[in-house]
Amino acid sequence: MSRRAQAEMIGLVLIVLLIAVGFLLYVKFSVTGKGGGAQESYETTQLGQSFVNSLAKSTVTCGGVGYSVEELVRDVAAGTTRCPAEQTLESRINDSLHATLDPWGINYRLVVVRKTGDREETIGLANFTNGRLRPEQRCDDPRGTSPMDRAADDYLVTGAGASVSIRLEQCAIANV
Amino acid sequence: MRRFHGRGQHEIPLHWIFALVGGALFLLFFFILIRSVTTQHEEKSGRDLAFAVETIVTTAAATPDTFTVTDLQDAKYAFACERDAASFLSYVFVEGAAKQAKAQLDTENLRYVPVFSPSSVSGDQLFTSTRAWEAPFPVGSLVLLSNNRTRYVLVGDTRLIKSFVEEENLGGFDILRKGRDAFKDVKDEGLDQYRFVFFNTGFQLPPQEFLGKRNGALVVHTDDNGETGTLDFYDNLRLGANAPSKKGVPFAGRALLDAAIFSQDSNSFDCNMLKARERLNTTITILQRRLEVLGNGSALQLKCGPLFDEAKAALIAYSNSPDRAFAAAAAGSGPIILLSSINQRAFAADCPSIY
Amino acid sequence: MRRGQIEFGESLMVVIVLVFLLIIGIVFYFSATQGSLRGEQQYREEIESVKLAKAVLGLPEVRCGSYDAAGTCIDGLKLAALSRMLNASDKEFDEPAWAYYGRLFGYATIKVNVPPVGGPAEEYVLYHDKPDTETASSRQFIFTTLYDPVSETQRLAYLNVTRYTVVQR
Repeated sequence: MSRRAQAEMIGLVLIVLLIAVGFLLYVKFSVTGKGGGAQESYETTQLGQSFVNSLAKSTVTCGGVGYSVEELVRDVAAGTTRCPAEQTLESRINDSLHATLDPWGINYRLVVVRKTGDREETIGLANFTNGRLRPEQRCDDPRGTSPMDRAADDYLVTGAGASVSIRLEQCAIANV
Repeated sequence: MRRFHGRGQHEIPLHWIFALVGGALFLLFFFILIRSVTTQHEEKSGRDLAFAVETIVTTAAATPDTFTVTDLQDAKYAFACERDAASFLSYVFVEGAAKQAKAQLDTENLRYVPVFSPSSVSGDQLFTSTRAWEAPFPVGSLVLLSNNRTRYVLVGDTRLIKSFVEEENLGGFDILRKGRDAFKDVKDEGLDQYRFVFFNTGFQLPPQEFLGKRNGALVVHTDDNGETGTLDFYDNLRLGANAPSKKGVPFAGRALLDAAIFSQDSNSFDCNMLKARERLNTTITILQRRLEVLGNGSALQLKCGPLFDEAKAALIAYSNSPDRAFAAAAAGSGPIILLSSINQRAFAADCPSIY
Repeated sequence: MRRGQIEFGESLMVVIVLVFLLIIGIVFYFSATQGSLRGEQQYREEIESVKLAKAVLGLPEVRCGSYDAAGTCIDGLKLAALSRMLNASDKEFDEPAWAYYGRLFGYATIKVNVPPVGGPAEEYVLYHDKPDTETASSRQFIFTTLYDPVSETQRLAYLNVTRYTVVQR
């Protein structure tokens, strides 16, 4: 056989081999049927939702009487306070966040919102954010150069008339 | 014009043979590799699906009083619960997912979750509904599982059946309600399985076309509310009314009735109820110790002491013979009923709950 | 003769290169498979940790009674009782309970932490079983409330679940 023919033959074999290996890899990675959306629902413990639910149910003493956080929020939203509700709530929410989400490095924003039709307004209490993060990194700062994905978990306060909820937003840490 | 030398004439056929043989060997190797990949994929797919179903069921058990529809890959899901003196296995697997060796099956993936379902569920959807079994305190969660290819035909007092279906939130399942006299009109619509449930009416043999499949029947003898009573299982419809598989099984509480309705047969019901009951003794012990601590506080002891003592005695009777307690509860008496009554009195007296 | 030797050498080199390429391809394929398997394994471990955390939260043995606080909470006295039954060094250790819950929970540490909010910090170790060999771990948190049936109050708390898997070498 001439050298040229040999070279051509070798080239052909090489191509066949590369195609075969490439095809094998394709089969390996493409033949993976989705098992359905079942697992996505159970992938997380829903930390944010469990936080607002539990915070709302927890007991706080106001004016010497025990109330749930939910009851005090309802009072603040309705403007009827039996005790220094706003200060008590702020103190309790701050303490709860300082002891859990702050040291865990969660970038959050917690507010109490009232929704009337399409309009939403925060009521009564201050915005709560993670004080351990730099201001420009926090969830409520729009100066971050990276877009921040927000995931919001609401606890709907019952008996508060218009739709009032305790909301926890979680954001990615801004790369500022 | 080509010149043929003697030597060249021998060389040319040899080159071609060599190429053919080499190529065939290569193709064979390649084919074996592809087969191995696809077989591995099938087995992995089966394991993934079984894992997904086990995840759905386990998480459902943690959230009582919920009804969920889950979309999955179209497959045939088989549920097994087997027990003997030596072992107790319960698992879900995907039928037909390659030739799975028994050794590769996770035979305990449902070991701790009571699941009441047909033995085989085909399709791309699963319906799950969870009931908190309370006797009278929460003992465990019972997961009812089915899909749109299983039909539950409820026969009997239509008023009772209607309120039962509504109150138990079973509307998401495929339920057909029939009066006693209209039962014979039921038609086979080609579904995978039918479960016939007769409320306060005797067993009636379904039409011929229903006798060949894995269908079964349950006769419920109950008070007006379906809260207590007894159950007769008819696992083999061909044997007719004279051969119930199990007769007179007492039940107390709707959760048990739901579980019996959704079970494939009496064996499956027994096996999964055994799973549900495994934690009963521990729960009773916890409640006893809780009452001891509660009773140590002087203020509570004064107000609630007699109630606590009565509850402790009832718990002892319960733990000594749970079977007798269940049977008595089905008849409206015994420690289970007593504990429920004590708890209500505790609530009325502003005492901590007994359980 | 010399030319034949050179030509033979060339053919041999070609065969060696081809075999080398084939081996590279196969090694790459199998390492990709292994990497995918490891990723799959890790994902499953995460799911198992979440399942365990949710299962513990739903345990009827420790949940609040229906007449007590509404919603999901853990009864502090029930939790304490079960913790003692599962603690081998406690006089109230219960061997059958340990046998059952040991299989149910597997290798894990399950704690309920109460942060210092509205009271001192508390920690309940419900269950602990860690193998002696090298392990990887995965941790999950879920918030709940801890109910005190005496004072009828609920404190913010969280389940702290760490699940261990034996590292295969």
